[in-house]
Amino acid sequence: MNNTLPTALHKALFHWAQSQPEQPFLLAEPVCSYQQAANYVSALATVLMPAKRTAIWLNKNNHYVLSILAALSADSAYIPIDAKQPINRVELILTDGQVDTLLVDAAHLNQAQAALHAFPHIKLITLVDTYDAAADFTQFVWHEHISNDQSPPVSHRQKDDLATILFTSGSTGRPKGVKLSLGNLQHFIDWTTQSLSLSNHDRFLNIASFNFDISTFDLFSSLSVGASLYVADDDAAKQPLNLATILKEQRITTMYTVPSLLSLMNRIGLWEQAAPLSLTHVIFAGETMPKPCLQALANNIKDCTFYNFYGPTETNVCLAYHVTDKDILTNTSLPIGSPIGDAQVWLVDESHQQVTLAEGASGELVVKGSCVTQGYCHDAQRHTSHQHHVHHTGDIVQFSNGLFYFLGRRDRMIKVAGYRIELGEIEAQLSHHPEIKEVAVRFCDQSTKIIVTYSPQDISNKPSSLQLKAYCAEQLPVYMIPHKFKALAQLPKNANGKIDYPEIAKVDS
Amino acid sequence: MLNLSVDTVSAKLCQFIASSYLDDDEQVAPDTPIIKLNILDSASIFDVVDFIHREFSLRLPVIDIHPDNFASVEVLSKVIEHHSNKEATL
Repeated sequence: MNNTLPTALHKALFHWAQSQPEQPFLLAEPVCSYQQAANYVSALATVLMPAKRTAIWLNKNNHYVLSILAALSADSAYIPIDAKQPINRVELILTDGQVDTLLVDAAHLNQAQAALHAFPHIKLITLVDTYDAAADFTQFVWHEHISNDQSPPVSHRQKDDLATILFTSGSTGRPKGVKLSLGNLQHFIDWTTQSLSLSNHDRFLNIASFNFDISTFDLFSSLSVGASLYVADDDAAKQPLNLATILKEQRITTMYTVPSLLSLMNRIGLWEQAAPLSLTHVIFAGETMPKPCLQALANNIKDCTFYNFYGPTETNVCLAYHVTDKDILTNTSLPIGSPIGDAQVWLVDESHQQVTLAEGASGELVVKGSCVTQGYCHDAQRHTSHQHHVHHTGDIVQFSNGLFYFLGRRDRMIKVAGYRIELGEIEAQLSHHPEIKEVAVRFCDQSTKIIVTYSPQDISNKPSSLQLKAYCAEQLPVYMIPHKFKALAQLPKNANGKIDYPEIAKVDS
Repeated sequence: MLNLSVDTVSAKLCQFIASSYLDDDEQVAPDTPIIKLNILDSASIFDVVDFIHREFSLRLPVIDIHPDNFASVEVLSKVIEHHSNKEATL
């Protein structure tokens, strides 16, 4: 097996800096050319060396992209931290990610310094506008390097080396770190650039946070073809009107996001208002795309191809489907597609026995191939499975006419606005509350997506919903805070003494 | 925009948000951080926008439909007041 790393991913930056130095790489102000980006990345990589695992905790902007590329160029994995993460969660990421270097901006410096009291071995590096002689941390004055030609660092990494750890919700109560190798990313990027016929004329919009796997497409697909990338900051990403303005003014051709955002933009008529747009590739993933939204998109964005991508973070994307005119017109659900690249898929039943792939067969989807990531930071069993490039997705799918259709989950993982949530993580956090003896979290999906918790509390000491929400806000990202809380005298149990979730659902009906 | 005091607007918003998104006996105060506590999310903000249109005959401009303007009922009431004053001077 050839284990050498092709000249894509972060190395593509230096290739394009030579062949098209003036081409804009990052479109958001201040616009950054390929040459400027290469200078910045080379200089920062030199400061980061000999880092092996660099956590990046910045507000979302051009600096975030350049910091990721600098970490990879320094032969370090990057571990992105969302700017809005509660500090407790950041500390878990620093621990489980075995971080040795933390790169922050001025906005996160105080929090980082406080957190690092418990991690004296972690080197702190701060991106600053002006040098502070009294500071006791390493500073990188970014604008001093952007115009000075720098030689790219020599990389010795191979495709099985770690590229990133993306932390997602974990059922045990700790965020789960999914380890992606350089080869995993390369496999996905090679497939997308070829299958979508991307070129350096394309202009990408990045909306997703960099701890969201979708962002790897935005960053590395644009880079691999020498295209331009507009990084929407946290503020722009929160406001649909801003996004519509960016799509129009920046003549964006390629965007990859979640259906809930596209639906929100549809709800307030932004697709109609913003038309005509330059979009030629719209990719969505993470949730089921509502048909009215897809129809509105197709009506208002002409000459655009729509893609339904599917795949958990553990496979980066293993199935993809090109949406046809027929799909848009009919009211049937969209297929999740067929395997990409060298991925092989099959179905297993509840006993993990392979199901014959006949028309109408259903079962849990299992994937094997280069897309399967290296496993988790802490999970020996799964890690062994992933070493053989096999992943049991937990998704129940049905096979029909050569395509797969998503039916539901085998476990208690849910998706809200594209965010993956293990209900067990919310339960684990709430179970530490002094007034809660036992807790069950359920997901109601009848009309709206609401997470409800149940706990057999002593009514006289019952904390209010607002108190419980405030408690959760200190432990969990905001999208994981339950909407409603219900106190039950006793949680229903099944014959094995385990919480009977179907029985709990009856309480709510 | 109907001629309503800021206090009335605030009270009606608190009542709507509590009855729509909280448990039966829970109240929302004007300074409750409704976004930070996930009482409102990016989708339910638009339910509140529809409520404002229905209840106060005010259509909030899309540019103001930003989570920061929905941080609390107090903040949102000021945004509504700002727009009602603008309408009154037209």
